Amino acid sequence: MKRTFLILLRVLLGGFFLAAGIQKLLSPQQVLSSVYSYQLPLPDGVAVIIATALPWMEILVGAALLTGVWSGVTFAWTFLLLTLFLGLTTQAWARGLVIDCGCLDLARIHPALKVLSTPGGASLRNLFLLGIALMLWFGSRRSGSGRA
Amino acid sequence: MKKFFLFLAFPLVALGCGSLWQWQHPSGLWSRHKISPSDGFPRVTLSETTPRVSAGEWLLIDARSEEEYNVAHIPGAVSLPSSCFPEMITFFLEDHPRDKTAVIYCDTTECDRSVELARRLQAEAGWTDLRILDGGMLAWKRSRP
Repeated sequence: MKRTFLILLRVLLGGFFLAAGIQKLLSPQQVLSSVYSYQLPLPDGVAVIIATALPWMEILVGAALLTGVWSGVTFAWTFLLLTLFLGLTTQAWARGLVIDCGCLDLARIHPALKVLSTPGGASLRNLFLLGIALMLWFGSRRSGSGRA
Repeated sequence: MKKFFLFLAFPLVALGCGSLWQWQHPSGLWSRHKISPSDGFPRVTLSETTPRVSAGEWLLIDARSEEEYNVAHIPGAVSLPSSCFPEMITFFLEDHPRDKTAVIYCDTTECDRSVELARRLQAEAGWTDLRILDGGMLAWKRSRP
């Protein structure tokens, strides 16, 4: 039962990363535009590197989560990315920026979910995903196998 | 040690795949394809635009939010956020005649806001000569020393 629950969480988190990465891959310029929309003092070169690598990072992490390979490293990157996303969206929220978070567009599922793309909504979403990642990590540690 | 290299491999592989993807994708950041716009608005380069804007022949419009415009914008540009079109268009048209060539930009070439604003200016304000700035704000940032 517990194992099934952990597998479900893994599929949810992995699927989320994978879908977010694929969506970003399909609109490369939009990713760069989203990076700029956070109005951070980033040099252009850094913004371009982020826009180039981020979609594939999400795809790699998503695929690794789904398949359960390289568990320790995958969790490390999952926490790192989610903490980074949480930090970004929270600072945008605190600064009152009216922007689209540039993350997975859930409004395609239902228009009401558009609120989860605002900085506030995205912060809550990232917090939720971070919670899932923590549950998965503790679950896989307790099971001792490193795999959920 | 193996885990450390695996940890480093993630961003390196992502950057490698990402670079190839940007190169081969039609709207990639350094695409090998020439972008052929499907929205019907001609593209103009920054070097074509700036002298004409300085001479007052063309009007340069920033379609990003007012907040983003206040942080930085291309010199000579006026702000008309695509999101505030209904509220601002009447006042905007009082100050800026429609017979001028309007060049619209947002962050990059493929950002939606410039094309969206161009469509609305054409359909709702009857503006005829509308162009999109190739590369948008990014082109201007890159052109600075």
